[in-house]
Amino acid sequence: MRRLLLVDDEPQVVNALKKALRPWRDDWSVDVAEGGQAALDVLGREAFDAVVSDARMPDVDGEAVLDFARLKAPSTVRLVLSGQVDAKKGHRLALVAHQFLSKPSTGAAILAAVEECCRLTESLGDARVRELVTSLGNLPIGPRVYHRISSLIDSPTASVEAVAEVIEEDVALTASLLRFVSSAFFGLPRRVESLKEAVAIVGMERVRELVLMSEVFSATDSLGLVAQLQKRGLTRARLARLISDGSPMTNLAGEAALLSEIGIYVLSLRRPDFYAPIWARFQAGEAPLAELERESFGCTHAQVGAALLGLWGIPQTVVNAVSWHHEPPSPAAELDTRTVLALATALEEEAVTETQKPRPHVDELAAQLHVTARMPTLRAFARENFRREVGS
Amino acid sequence: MHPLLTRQLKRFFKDAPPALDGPMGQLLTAISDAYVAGDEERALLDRAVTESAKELEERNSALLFDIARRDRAEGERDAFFRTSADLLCIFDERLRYTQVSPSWEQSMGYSATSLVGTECLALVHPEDRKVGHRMWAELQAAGKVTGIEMRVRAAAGDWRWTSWAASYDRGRKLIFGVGRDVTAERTMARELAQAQKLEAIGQLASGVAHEINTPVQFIGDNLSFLTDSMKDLITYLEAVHGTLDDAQRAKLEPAAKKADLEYLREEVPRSLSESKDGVRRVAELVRALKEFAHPDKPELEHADLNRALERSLVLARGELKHVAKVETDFQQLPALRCHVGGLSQVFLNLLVNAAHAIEERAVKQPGTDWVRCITVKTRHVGNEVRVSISDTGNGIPPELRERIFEPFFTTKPVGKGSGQGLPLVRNVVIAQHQGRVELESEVGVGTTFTLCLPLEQKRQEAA
Repeated sequence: MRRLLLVDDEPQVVNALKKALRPWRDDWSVDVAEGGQAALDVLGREAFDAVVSDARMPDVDGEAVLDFARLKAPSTVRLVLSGQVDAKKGHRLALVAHQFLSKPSTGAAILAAVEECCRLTESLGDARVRELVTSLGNLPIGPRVYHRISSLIDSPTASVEAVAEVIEEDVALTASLLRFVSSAFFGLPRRVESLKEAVAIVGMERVRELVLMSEVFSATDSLGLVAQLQKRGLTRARLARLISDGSPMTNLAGEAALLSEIGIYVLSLRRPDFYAPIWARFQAGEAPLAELERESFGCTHAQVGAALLGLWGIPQTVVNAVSWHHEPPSPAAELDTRTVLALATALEEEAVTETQKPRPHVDELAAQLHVTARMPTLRAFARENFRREVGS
Repeated sequence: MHPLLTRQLKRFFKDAPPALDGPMGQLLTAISDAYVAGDEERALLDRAVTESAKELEERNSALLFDIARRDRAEGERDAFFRTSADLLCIFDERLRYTQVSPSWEQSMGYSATSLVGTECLALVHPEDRKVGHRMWAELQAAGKVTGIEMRVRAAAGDWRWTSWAASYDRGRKLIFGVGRDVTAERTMARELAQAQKLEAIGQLASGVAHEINTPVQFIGDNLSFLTDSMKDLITYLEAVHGTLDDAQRAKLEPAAKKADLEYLREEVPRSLSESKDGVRRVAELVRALKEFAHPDKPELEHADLNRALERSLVLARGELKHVAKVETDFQQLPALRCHVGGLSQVFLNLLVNAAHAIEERAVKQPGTDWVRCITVKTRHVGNEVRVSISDTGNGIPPELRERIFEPFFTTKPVGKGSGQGLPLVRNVVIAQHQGRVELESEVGVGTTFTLCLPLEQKRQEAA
């Protein structure tokens, strides 16, 4: 039986919600805390799998409650359920909470979000990795992108396209923006079809806030991977968009490509202590990366990335694609975003390996996407662009 | 001796001048003295004459100078009179124009000849005539008034707000009036007040929204708890019922009748589900209100107009639902960079107007049968987004079509229309979004307003 703690300064809210969750009583044992202080007390004594807290409470607010829960047990699933959050508070809450739900939400919706977060957390077998992913508030953005975006947004002629193009160059900022627009930070979560649309919906002013609130990474990129990943991600996104060719069935393919290696990004930046040896062995050609990762921490960087994006409430299309991008084709994934990303990744691998032997499954993936006829063009694009990067 | 006397003595006595001693000499000396005195007196007189001639001349030229100056001053005053943009006029004591400035023609469309001799209050809005009478009474008492505002009809038929200062010349029996067109200022002040009101409502709305959402959350949770428990209870009762034999059932029958068990089984779940639906609607309304008010987003933003329209429809539902059925025909639209708050207000105004038009027709043609319908349509045409709102109301007569966008023009009864709705529509669509408002109307058939909003607007300079 899992344990859930509900926190709100209004007793009716937590009591009624507890009762509304009665149909799940066989799986969940629900406790309530009236107000932030009561929540801190109970969190100090007992362990919970998930905490759902109001944001605005007198004395001890939701941010403090969830921060304490994170310190006590980083892998506790932390959700905010709030009537209204202003932008600044929202950015701060994003550092301690996994997802946002707006009041009113049904018990079923709340529990579905909680269970999905638990599933993602538990998919990460290794405690170190699980702790890393669940306690990650945000990712630092690159200083170059930080400066470019700040000056671009201040210019009165900044266009949505130009801002979106700069955001794309940074994995962390891309993830933050998609998280922001997909969450109930400010009212209803929105479905978006592209990063550009996300910029347009969020608005320049809030993109600026997002950038200003972000941490800029100063730590040296010890594995030297970040710059390379960013660059490869951009080219992969171009290729994915070329494959998808604007089809609505495979939307967000470019965005998924940009975020596809976020797992490596997180592991190399935050846990170089145990990821560096894995990377070194992979570079030495000892074994495929996924195999080395599984052997070391029980899952792959793709799963780590997908778990992080899923916990952050990023659209499921993107999460699925990221989780799948090194996997063999699945018959259920015809004309799907994840197949686009898998094909783009396979073509990239083909292009960067010395032998340039066709990867297994490439033709199958192409057939599923009905792009077999366009394969020569796509291969040529991959060879030209990825080879150049490897050469440079 | 005086030279003249010497000359005369010489001529009279020739070469034998008399001796100048003795009585004769004394006489001659006296005569000489008299000559000298006479000379002096004449010189004095001459000087006096010269002096006064000079003075006369000086005075004369000063007078000429004065006249020129007065001519010039009058010319300058005329120039003021001719060039003033203010409405200058002179009335007699019967309040008839005796002279009006050319500005009347430029700003109000009246030539001087058409006005002179007519009664000035004839142009004043009927509701403001008493202000005009009060102004005249005050002029008679105090000789001077300022800051009197009233509406004056322009030649084209529209009303202009004007502010007046006047003075009364009792001696000449004339009134001098200076009026200024303050329509724009007044509209701006009204709009500002309206905007401030909206902002205040917006802030209030988001505060209230939070307060409402909390009870909505727990009412909803309690209702779903009750629904689930009811289901469980019914399942349990049925299980119990299944274990009973006929005799036991017959024994329980009166109690079941008394409790009206069958009815409860049907109606309790239904009333719970209706309550849930009610809570859902409250939540929807609060959300629409919150997004509508949007107090923290004054700048341009990308928005989906279909969504904004849906929001306005939710808010207008109270006005619409008893009047007409509402049909929507939305096409997928690209995001439009716009002031979505202003546009939502515009949609709301047009929807409410459409409802009023249908109500009005219903009052005018009681008993007749026609389809009462408001249709809201969105289209993406070329480089534009078009939103049209149609009603099957009375239509707008052709002679009023030009005037409905004028500030303060209203055909609605006093207290119902502020005359601010359509001017706001025009201001938001044309001034803020560089769009157009198209009006199609047929009397007895209905009216369609179409707002055409360009997707690419010239970027306005950031303030």
